[in-house]
Amino acid sequence: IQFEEFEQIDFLRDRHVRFFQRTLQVLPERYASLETTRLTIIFFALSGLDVLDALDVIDRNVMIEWIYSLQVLPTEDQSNLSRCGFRGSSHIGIPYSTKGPGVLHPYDSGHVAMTYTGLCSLLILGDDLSRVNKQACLAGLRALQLEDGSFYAVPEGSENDIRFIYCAASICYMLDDWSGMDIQKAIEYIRGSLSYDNGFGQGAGRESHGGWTYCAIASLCLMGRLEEALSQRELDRIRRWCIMRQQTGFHGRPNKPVDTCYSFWVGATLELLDVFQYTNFDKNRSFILSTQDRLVGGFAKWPDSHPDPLHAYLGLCGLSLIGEPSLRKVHAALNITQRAFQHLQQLHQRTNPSGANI
Amino acid sequence: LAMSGVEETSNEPVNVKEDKEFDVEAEEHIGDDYFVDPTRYLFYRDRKEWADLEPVPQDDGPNPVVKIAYSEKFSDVYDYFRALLKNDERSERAFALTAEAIELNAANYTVWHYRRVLLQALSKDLREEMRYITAIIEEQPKNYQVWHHRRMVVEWLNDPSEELEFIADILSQDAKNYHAWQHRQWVIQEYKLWDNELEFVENLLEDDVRNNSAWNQRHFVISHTTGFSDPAIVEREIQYCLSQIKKAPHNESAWNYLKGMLQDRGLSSPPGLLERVLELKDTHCSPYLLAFLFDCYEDALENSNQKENVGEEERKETLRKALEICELLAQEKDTIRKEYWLYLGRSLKSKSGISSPSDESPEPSPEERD
Repeated sequence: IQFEEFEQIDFLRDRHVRFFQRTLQVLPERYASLETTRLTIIFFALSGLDVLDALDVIDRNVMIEWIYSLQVLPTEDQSNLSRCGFRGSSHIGIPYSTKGPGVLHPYDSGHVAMTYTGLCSLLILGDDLSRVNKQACLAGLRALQLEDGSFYAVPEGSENDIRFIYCAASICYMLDDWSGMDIQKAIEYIRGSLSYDNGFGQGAGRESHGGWTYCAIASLCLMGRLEEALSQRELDRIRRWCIMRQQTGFHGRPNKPVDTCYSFWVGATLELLDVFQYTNFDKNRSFILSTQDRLVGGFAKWPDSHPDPLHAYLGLCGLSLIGEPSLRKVHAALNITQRAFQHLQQLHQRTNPSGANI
Repeated sequence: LAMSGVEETSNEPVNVKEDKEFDVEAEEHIGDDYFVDPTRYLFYRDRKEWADLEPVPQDDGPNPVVKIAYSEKFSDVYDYFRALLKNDERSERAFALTAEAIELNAANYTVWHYRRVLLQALSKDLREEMRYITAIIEEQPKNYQVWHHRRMVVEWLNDPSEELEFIADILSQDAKNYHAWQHRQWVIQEYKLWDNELEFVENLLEDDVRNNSAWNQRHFVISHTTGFSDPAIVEREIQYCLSQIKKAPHNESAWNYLKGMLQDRGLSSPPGLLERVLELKDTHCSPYLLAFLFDCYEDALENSNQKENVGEEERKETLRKALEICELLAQEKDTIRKEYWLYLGRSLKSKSGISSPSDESPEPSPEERD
């Protein structure tokens, strides 16, 4: 019985590699709701493979070309600058192209989460971002920020909240250019989202939640403004809210069930706040592995549930945070491996050798 | 893709009519006994009223990544959606097609945006659209696009009168649906519908005293109406919390609410609160109660730094009690956070600047040295 128990918590690396490989190929029609966010799915798979140190199983150049085909580039007359960035997929029907000028289309525009995951994915693949039209991306980003500091996802309008502040901060960080956003306003929105119970909600007054707390803290870290925006007392209170999320694994809100992805959202937040070391690694690990799909690979939100790319990726990141031996370390704020992060730092050195690093 | 049917939209009857017309003509041409099935689905590419439009396929290039394998029906609908989009066509047939596209993928935000453009361009009946979006949300209550769409329609109508009841219905299916609560807060704040919300919250807490969303809503309502400055309100809320805690002691939400309400005014500020909590320590203990006590002691220590009439002995005793709580939590009552409670104890000790006999001294004291 003891041997079986040990087997049960065995980490099945090869299954997860194959899970991500299959994700990158073809998905059945029941995944239709992921169409407009396919670029985020690529990110989960590529970053997942990177964490597994298994990027050798994919063809980098094929991926890089496909990602660049999703860039919304300026048209000849530059009239669409405020709509530039990356698309989630080809769903609008723009003919495949990896170079400019952009095609004029009444409904084609970037999506902030796709620009963010597109850039991450290119970095993970070792690309130098030289084909990214940085000024266009930043113009597109500026167009998305509201007066209250939050961001829309798309220029046509959408819901606006703290998730897209995180995407914006990540984009500015990767492009090493903060002209893409008004930092002060973003900080005000983030502060306004701090709940009475010391977690962050999606906006002012809203229920605190592990995902939005990650967005808040990680954004402030990327901006280099964590201790400017929040007092020591506030930070201690936030640490308390976060660390109380551990039940076995972590949940996202008080009195909700634990879910694998929060091992990353909350775990990474605790790491950024320097107290992740005080969590219980064993119980966390046991829970994450209980959601591992031993047959098809990947992880699910709960035990005995279907795995999906998001939980598969964040499950791995959760394990990486606690130091699972076969996994690469993850940069907690940018949510890519330290390896990919170092590649980014080298790119920054090249373009801005004397630049003050955050 | 078996989809529970969207409530009757203008789509289905039109299809039936078109099929009949088409097949009547075919009958005349073919001339043999041919049973016409009026419900047979016809691809858009085969519908003569769509013949003027060139379908636009998705183009992922030579090496598609994360390709979704769509059925013929799905591709056909979306090939025509893309064609309409390219021309920015503003027509009834475009509007009808958006409903089919939504049925196939309600998360496609471009379809929703285009539908909104058409709603305005064609001056469509927004009341009917409210009925439509109500049905969609009931089927897919955790989708961002459908709630955003509803918000837009409510804004255009400038009529929130159905909202509270609708959201209550969604919450009756999942009392913690984040989208529903967000929409509810928006409606209440935008249209000043505060009057009955506290009662609504209390009913939900009667159903489930551990519903964290409801506790959050309680704080939302009070902070935007009476506020928490009035001591009578604070006392009422303290009593409410304590009575919920007595019913269900292991409830983080209630304790978070109590602490959250008081933390900036000083946890020891309501007189007698510490004592009331201590009374519950043996019979209604929980990690949250103990953490609250710790926070009270920490608060007292911080404040006593400024107070001259708080003697060193009293401070030492407060610290001792705080550290005792940390030990209790670490070793017995909240062992999963053992390292954290020990860390908190160490931090508090060093912040307080109080030394104790148990501290390791590198040198003997002056008396001993001599």
